[in-house]
Amino acid sequence: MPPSPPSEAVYNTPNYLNAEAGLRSWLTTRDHKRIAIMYLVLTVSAFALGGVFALLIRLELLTPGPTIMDAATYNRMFTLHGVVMIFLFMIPAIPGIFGNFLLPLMLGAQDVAFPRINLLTVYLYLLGAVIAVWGMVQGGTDTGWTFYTPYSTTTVTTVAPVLLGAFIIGMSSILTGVNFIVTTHTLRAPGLTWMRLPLFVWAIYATSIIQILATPVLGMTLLLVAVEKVFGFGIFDPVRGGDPILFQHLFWFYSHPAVYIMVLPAMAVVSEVVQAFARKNIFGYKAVAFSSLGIAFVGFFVWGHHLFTSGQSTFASGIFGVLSMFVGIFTAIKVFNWTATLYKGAIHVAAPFVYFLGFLYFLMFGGLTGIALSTVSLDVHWQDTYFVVAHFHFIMVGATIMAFLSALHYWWPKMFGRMYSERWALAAAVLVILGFNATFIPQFLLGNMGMPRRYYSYPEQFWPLNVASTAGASLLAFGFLIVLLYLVTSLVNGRVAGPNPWGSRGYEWNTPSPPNAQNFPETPVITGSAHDYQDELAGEVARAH
Amino acid sequence: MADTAHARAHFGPVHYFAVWVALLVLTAATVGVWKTSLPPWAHIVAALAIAIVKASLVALIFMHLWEHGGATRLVLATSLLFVALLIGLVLADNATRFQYANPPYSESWGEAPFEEAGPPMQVEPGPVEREAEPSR
Amino acid sequence: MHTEAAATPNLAHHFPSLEQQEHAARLGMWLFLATEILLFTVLFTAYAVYRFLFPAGFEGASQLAHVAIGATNTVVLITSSLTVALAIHCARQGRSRATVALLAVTIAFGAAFMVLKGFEYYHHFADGQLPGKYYHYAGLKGPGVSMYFTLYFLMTGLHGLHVLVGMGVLTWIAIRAAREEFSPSYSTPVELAGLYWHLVDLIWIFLFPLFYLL
Repeated sequence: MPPSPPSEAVYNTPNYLNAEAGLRSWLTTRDHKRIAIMYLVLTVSAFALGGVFALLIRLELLTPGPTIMDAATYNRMFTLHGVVMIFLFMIPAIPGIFGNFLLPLMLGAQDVAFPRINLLTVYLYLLGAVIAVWGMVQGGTDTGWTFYTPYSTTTVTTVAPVLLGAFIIGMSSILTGVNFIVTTHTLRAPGLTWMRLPLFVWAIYATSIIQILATPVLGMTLLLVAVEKVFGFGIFDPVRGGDPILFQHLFWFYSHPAVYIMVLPAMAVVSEVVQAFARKNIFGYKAVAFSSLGIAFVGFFVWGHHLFTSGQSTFASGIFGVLSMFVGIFTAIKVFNWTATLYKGAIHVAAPFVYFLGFLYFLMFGGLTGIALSTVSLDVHWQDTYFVVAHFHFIMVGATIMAFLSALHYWWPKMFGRMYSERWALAAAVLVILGFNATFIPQFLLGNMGMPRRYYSYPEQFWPLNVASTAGASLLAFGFLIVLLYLVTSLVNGRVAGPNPWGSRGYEWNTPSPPNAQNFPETPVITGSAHDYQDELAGEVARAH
Repeated sequence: MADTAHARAHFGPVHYFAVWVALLVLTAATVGVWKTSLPPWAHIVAALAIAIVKASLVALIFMHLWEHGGATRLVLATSLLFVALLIGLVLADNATRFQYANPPYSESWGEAPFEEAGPPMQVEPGPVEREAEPSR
Repeated sequence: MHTEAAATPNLAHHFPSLEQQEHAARLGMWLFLATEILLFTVLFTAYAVYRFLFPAGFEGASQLAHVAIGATNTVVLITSSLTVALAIHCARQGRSRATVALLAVTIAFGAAFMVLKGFEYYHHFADGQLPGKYYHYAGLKGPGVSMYFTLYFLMTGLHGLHVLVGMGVLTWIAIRAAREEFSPSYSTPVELAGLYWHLVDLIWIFLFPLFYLL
């Protein structure tokens, strides 16, 4: 049996956090675990920044007409909110933090395939983030995060630095994807066959495929907008024979798969959490594993559903509408299998599990409204209304951020060796889930009533629901704040966690908490699959310690 | 452990020179086809077909895809699939759009009916005009 | 044998073997090449769309292209692919001086390509065949003509940038080869640089017919 680490205070035992001291050791680290922590700090800061912009938006929408800002400022506000949330948080967070921290541990590897490139991705992220935010703040970018032509190429506000920043962040995303794919192919421990991989790895692998194939398209497209803005070549300008809708095609070819870059890692987390907290093997391992690849693949075929009302041909719209429904099948398979995993499981209700329940509910409603939106005849009424806004926030905040919080709570003891206060965690989870509902359900109703998005004012009949939504947003923000507070204080006051406080059978729990700088003294040999709850007697997972 | 240098080197200078000659021949062929008077669509098909053969030779032999394992081949094949996807579906859109939703005076506009409406459209209506002796 | 021991310093701590490390490096490079392919695909998509929309304009404009220079450049790049493949072959046999010489020839071909391209660009500038709103060549007017040149300069320009980057990478590899850093059991960097150079050639193989011959 592997010896458990001594139960003294966590920072007395050597681990990756205290292995080397000093800022320089962190800034030049090649340890994937330290890189993960750097991503944690950076992306959570970005989330807070994006959240501030969200609150300002909701404050403005508290009353019809101007409340705290004028129309131009409002346009800048939702541009800031969108760019910061999507490029600085949603895309990099779960892969950057949990992918980096866990992938080598789950594979029995000492590090990712290219550790120095891994560090480079952090700096690229930071550089791109600074340039993009500076560009928006200083230059008043008001195009929205979607940068549609011809407005983005003719506006007097600054666009080029934001595009450059997004391009640089895209490079960070690409290199992360390359690293994860190569690591999964080449650094699996002996005995770890593809069908024994944790489902987290399958989903992160699928995410990496999307990152590699889709991000360059965005990079080049944004570059073309910058070139057109600066030089006026006219590639999207009708006067020169250009087609503005071409921009939309190219933009959404990335940006739709991008939402799967955001949600697949969330699903990765959930597959791990549901097994650990139901104490049961996943129902239908292969179905879930291949559904991840299915989402990654089919997710590339559907981008035209963002162009239903833009002038795209009805023929193409029809194709894209049908294909968009297909992609829902894979999510449905996963939802069914996660739920079936719970059946006859030994459920342990803790914060990660509560967030999983929230995730499931929000994913279902967000996903179903997505299927509804993919019907062209319905979308022509909902396009550019709050119905769409609510739909994607259900998936991006409701599903993805619930999964992010689930991951944070599940792996917090592993990363930092400390447990947080369970009571505060449950209270915050309830606040967050209720606050989310209060924020975004009114927005479905508003959108259905016809309230357009990206408008700083609205007719009086929409006032009550907007007030409700703003109230919900305040509750949601308060919930997030509480999470931040008890997690941070747990670093100081939290009870020492020990190697496996959840009793999970994931591979990564066979290391100390926090893990050593060197992941494994000797390469482990795998003889069973991850999360083998029904295989306690036979097929023990062998670890050489 | 096997001597990897020996195991890897299936292709040698002979193969590379052979491919080089083939590429030169194909380049000559593609210029030759250009000089014939085929209908435009046949020119496009021929040019792309020859380019694909050339690219395959470079990828399979110069870049060793013929020798190396499944993962790297899958990477190239998958990316080519998505190239086809993007170009194909975008073209399908432009080809089936309401004719005036395409850029001004593009092929689908046919006989542009709006010339009489006058400015502000600054783009030049067709047909494409060429001087008798373009200055070179 | 002795080559293994001599090459061990190149083995990173987290890889179990040099062979595994090399396989990982190659897979990583191919994934990066996939991103480059998708990068250019954006421009190829624009080309496909605008060619479809403006067939007359594109056909007329492509007759202004300098086929002789384009064809010569094609031969130059194809031959440079040959020399870099030979360079990798020599590196695998541990023949450093041959490797350096062949890499130098490859770089020289790259430079020749850029010089020829420079001539072409100069002629286009002089004739007023410029992208977008700067187009003012009197000999050919009409819808789609300026768009052809916009795409021509964007695509050959991006390609030229990649040629320059490739030349830089090959120079660095040549310096390392001159320092005898490569051996039969460790020549991965040469192979990776070669892969990048071949991609540059691959893209030109498509650019040439699309802009000069169609």
